[in-house]
Amino acid sequence: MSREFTPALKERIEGVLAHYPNKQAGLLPVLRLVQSEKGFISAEDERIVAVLLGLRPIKVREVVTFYTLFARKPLGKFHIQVCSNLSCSLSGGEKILEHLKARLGIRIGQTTPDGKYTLTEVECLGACEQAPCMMVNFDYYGNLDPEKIDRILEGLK
Amino acid sequence: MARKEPRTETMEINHRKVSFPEGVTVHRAAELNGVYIPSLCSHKDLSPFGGCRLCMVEIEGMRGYPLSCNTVAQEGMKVLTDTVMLRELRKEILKLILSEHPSSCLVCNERTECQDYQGTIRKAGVTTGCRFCPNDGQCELQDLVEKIGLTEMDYPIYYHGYEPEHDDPFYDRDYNICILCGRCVRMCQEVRGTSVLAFTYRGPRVKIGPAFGRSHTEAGCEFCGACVDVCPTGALADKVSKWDGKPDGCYVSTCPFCAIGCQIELYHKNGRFSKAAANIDPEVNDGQLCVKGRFCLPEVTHHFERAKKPMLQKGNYFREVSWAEALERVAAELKGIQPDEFAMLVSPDLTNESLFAAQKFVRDCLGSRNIDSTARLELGGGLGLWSKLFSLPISIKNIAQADVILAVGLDSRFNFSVVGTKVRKALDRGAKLVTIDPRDSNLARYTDDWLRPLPGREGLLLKFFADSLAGRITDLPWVAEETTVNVPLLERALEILSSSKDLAVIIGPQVFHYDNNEALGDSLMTLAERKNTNFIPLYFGANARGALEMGVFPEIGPGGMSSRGQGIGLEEIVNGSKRLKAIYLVGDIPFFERPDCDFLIVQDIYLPPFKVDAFLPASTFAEAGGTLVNMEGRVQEVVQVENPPEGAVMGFMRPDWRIFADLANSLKGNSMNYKTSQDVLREIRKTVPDFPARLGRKPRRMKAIDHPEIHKPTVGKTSEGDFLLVAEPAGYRHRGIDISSKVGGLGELALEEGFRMHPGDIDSLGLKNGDRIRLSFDNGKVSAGGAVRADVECPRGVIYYTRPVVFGGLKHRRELLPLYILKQNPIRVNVSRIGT
Amino acid sequence: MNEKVLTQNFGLDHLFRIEVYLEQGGYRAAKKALTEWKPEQVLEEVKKASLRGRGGAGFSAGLKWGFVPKKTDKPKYLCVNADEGEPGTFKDRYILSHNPHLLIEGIVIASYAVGIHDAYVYIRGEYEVIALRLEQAIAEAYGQGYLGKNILGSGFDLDLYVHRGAGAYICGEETALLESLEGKRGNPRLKPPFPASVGLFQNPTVINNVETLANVPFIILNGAAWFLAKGLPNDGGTRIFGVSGAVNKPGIYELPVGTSLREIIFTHAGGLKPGRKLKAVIPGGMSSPILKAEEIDIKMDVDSVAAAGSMMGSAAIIVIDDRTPILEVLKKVAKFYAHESCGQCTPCRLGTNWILKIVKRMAEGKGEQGDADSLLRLAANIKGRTLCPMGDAAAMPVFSIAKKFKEELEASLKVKT
Repeated sequence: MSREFTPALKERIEGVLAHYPNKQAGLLPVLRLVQSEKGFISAEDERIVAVLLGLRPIKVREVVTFYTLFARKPLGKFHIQVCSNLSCSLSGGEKILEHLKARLGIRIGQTTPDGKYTLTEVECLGACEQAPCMMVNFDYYGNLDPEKIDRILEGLK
Repeated sequence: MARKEPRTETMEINHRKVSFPEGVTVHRAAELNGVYIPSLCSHKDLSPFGGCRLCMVEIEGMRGYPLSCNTVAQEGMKVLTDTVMLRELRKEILKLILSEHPSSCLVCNERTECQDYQGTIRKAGVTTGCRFCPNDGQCELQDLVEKIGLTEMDYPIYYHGYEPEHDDPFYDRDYNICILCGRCVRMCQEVRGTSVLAFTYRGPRVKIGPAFGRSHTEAGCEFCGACVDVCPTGALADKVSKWDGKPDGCYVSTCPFCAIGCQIELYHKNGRFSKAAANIDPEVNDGQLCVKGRFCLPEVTHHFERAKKPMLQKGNYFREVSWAEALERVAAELKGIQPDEFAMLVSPDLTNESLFAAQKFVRDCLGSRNIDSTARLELGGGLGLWSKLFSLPISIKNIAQADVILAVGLDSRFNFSVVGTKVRKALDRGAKLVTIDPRDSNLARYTDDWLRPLPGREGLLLKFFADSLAGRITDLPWVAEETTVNVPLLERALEILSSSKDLAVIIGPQVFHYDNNEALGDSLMTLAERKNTNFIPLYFGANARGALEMGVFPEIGPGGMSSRGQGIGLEEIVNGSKRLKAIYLVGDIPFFERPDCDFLIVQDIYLPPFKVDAFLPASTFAEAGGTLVNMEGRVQEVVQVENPPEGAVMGFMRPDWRIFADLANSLKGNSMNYKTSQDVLREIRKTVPDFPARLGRKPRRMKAIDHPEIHKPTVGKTSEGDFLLVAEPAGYRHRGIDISSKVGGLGELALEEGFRMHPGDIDSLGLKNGDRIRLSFDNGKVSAGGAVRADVECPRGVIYYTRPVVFGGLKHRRELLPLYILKQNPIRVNVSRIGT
Repeated sequence: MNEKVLTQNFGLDHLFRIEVYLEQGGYRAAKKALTEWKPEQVLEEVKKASLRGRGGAGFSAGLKWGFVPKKTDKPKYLCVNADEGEPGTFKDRYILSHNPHLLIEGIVIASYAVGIHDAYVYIRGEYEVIALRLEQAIAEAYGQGYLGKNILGSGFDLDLYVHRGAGAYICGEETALLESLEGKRGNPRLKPPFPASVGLFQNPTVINNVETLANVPFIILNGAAWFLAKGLPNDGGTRIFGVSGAVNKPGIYELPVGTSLREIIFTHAGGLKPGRKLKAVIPGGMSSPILKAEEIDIKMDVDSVAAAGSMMGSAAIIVIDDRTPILEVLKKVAKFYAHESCGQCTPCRLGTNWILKIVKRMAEGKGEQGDADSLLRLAANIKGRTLCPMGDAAAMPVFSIAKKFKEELEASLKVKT
């Protein structure tokens, strides 16, 4: 797959950059755009972004490795992020994680061989009232139990 | 612009009244008053980081423990730096730092025994044992443990298990012992503006390194070594000297590699010069160096090919002989020839003492006028022009104060780095930068207006600006057409330049090496009439200005007086218009082949690549003392670091001035009675009127030599071809050798190799990076071949190559010979591929 | 008395649409402030209302605005901290998703008061859906003239942008947030200088929490006195308490500042699940020191909670029951802060890592005698000695847990050995 940016993506990047007085400030949103378009941010993408924003590659690198939401390898079609922080674990978050591991047959941080699911353990998602909770791509699911998870997984296509 | 001196204020540190200049931090104020506050991450040139937390102090009226590195000292402040609480606190933090720094030798029970009985040095990366780290005995962290008095560790030592990195030239990295103080990162980003190093990841996984885990070379590292210099631990260490252990001491000396004259610290161990580092000298380099000064000095001095004994051609053999025999033979040969049948060429890399002794030997002792210097090759445009340039106020330090900088053909990555750091400083203070450079340079990124003329037309642009600023009539459309720079860019540049009150004009070495630099000379003279203009003409050949003052040219004697009549010089020798009986080459070898003569004497630090009749081994800068004149006219000292007795082990090298004196004495008996370089210096002061009586390192303005300029018309007709070939002067040269042939790391960087072309041009010719190409010009009568290298910094349609000014040690570049002797620069050529 | 302010209309469908918001009297406060009041009057009113920051530190919003230099040639910025990352906290998510226009109105008024013409909402990266909703609301506000040039004919201009974070708790720290907004790593800055004078892009900057700004329109509409009457004399208004953990009805509860913690847990949040007993409460987000069951008879306002040895923080109450081993809580705390440390300063980078290592080994049954003391010492070593407040945030819960539950921690060692 070519890593060149499509004109549409470049246009969106230009749009985002207009929000800031300098190009570097647009780095985070631009990286998010790249990730949403390509699924992850490759080293090549980092370089292209660096050129677009007039930055040294290292400036992109240090940012990409700092923030946890930037993926540097391909993720599954459905990125399941399960909260393992306090409120969720008080409400049985560990069980949820165990269930997902068993059900998907992968460990935390892995992607299923069919490329469908990636399982990640994350810190607080800010939905403690629905603990235990998880996020699939950008959709929240709360008050989970194993049965509900099975239903959710079946609903994912 | 009037610069206000900061006011002096007073405060109390540890109940003692102290004074400090307004605006400094508490940490600096304490330092200035001799109060030690521990710190691992702060540095005078770097922004505060607040990482190590060791510099916390107690300040009356402030909550908690403010950081002294980030608290501005104020009138009347009351600071305590060493209370029981602070001591406890620092111990605890230090324990944490040490938990991630596997160097148990700091607190090991057997530390004393270990030091006493340390027999060998283990080089393997092991987690235990005091010799894990190359920095033992010269480590800031170790000192700090000592000073804070930490004797026990509460935490087990955690070893990250990063692989030590040995792949880069010049220095090794072991991030297992890195304490993440961030000095290297800030140095790289803030002072050097390179941004090769950065923090990646976060929290306990934070690691320092170049982007993408690439090597430093790929990441654009300039190998200035500033990061190594500021590293408080052994995480970054010089390859050459890392296992030498703690040096016995150091001398402050002057770097002999270019005309900036950076102040360097030469460390020595067991009587041998071991490593060089930057000296914090606010006058010139202020703690910064380039790759040459930082890393290349020890290898140039101690390379295994170094010639250490006098040698004579005896029959069919070239034999090592004693000094007595060599001197006797050379003296005998010189006695038998007429003064006009002899000529000497000296290198501009010699000290003033050696240059002076050389000309005295030739003029007084041999009665010849035939002394010339290869400085001519460095000072393109003629000695008259340069003596005028040297009569202007030149100040490297003041670049930082400029409000507008005009940089012509300057790339400060691997050469003249110090100038680059000053430019950055000025830019940080809000200065504007106008760049004239056909090539992309490291400064082009910061530039406000970048003009990319055709190579060779920089002088025209400069003349346009000079004339416009002087209020003369100029022809803007014509200039735009001739230089291929568009009109709006020119207007913008002119606007910026006109706004300047403090203009700095920096001229890179390339510009002086075009065959036609009439416009350049004119424009510099015009600009010089402008008030507050700081000229920085850059050239290689460390002591070329000294060569002018010492008078080692046929037409110029000591003190710049023109000696009557013409002698035989470089040009006659190189083009062979007069055959000489004896030629004496000191330090430089401007030939590929042995020049035609009966007796060839070479006095140098390495053997030349062709047959010589007598070889006299000279001392390097580290082995002989003396003085150099930098481009600003500062007379700076080169300190003798090594002074071993002559012998089979350490060699029989002698300082150049001493060899001349020895020869003179063999010839005439006691005519040059020099025992030390000081004796020569004394005579220089008597003979050269403007030479300072005392070494004060003050910049001086030279008296312009009134010497009729010989404008040589361009030789030959204009050649036709698709590409423009530009010869760049070689930057890695010292005393007749190509430094990269002796310094492995520099060789790896291969900065001057091959024909550099834009990748687009390489593609359009159907070539690949590394293919061999043939260049032909003069209707195909002359051609030369070599490998092509993709270089995105080149403009389209232009090929760059490096033309050395001296050819010693350049065996592998011989196929380029037809290019080296070309008179035209730049020249149009045709390109074809060699082979299939 | 229990009258909701911020969340009063949260039950309405499509409150996030501007039509619905306007029907409920939305943007009246903005109109009043921009067309009838001078900026200084707005500032004065907010100062009088004792509106304290809802993000964690509890600093007076009015004072904060006042620190920004009045006369300056530099542009000024407002950054809205919607990087809600403190574990246990979810109140801002409610405001953003239910009533984004309330926040926008607050932003308009605050910007008017300080003389700001560019504002950014820094929203945490996970809230993508909410960010889209906010962006839609902003577009609506532009369309109706509540943002952009010459707002409501007052001559006041304001541009508002949404900036998404990318997963870093530390960016909730205000200077780290600024760095992140500038496209850099979220490393906190050294202070001084403070953001009010040198903030975003080196210009004067105000940084406020979402809930803080959402209160502003009500202060303008009803006056400072009304607002103070809602809460306490030096801590006005209501607060949105987010209750989670071992309670029957986890969720948000908007209550007057000063409501008792016991009341919140047992009356509003429905108490604990059947058969369980209260063991401990974390009263203000994970970084606040833990309170034992017998310590919950306190008023929930910034000063009272501080007097009880903890802190109000983001008013996120995490309830822990007797079935949860305290080591479990400690493990989560330790893991979180080691994961989120930016790594710049020594005590935080190494201290949190060592805490995690010790806690892990205790949890694995390999704990040693004196581990609890080590935790206490490490935490004491971090607190007050780091570059930014995150060190304190990491140290305080560990210290309080290791101190208050030392016996349980040590007992757990004995059982396992």
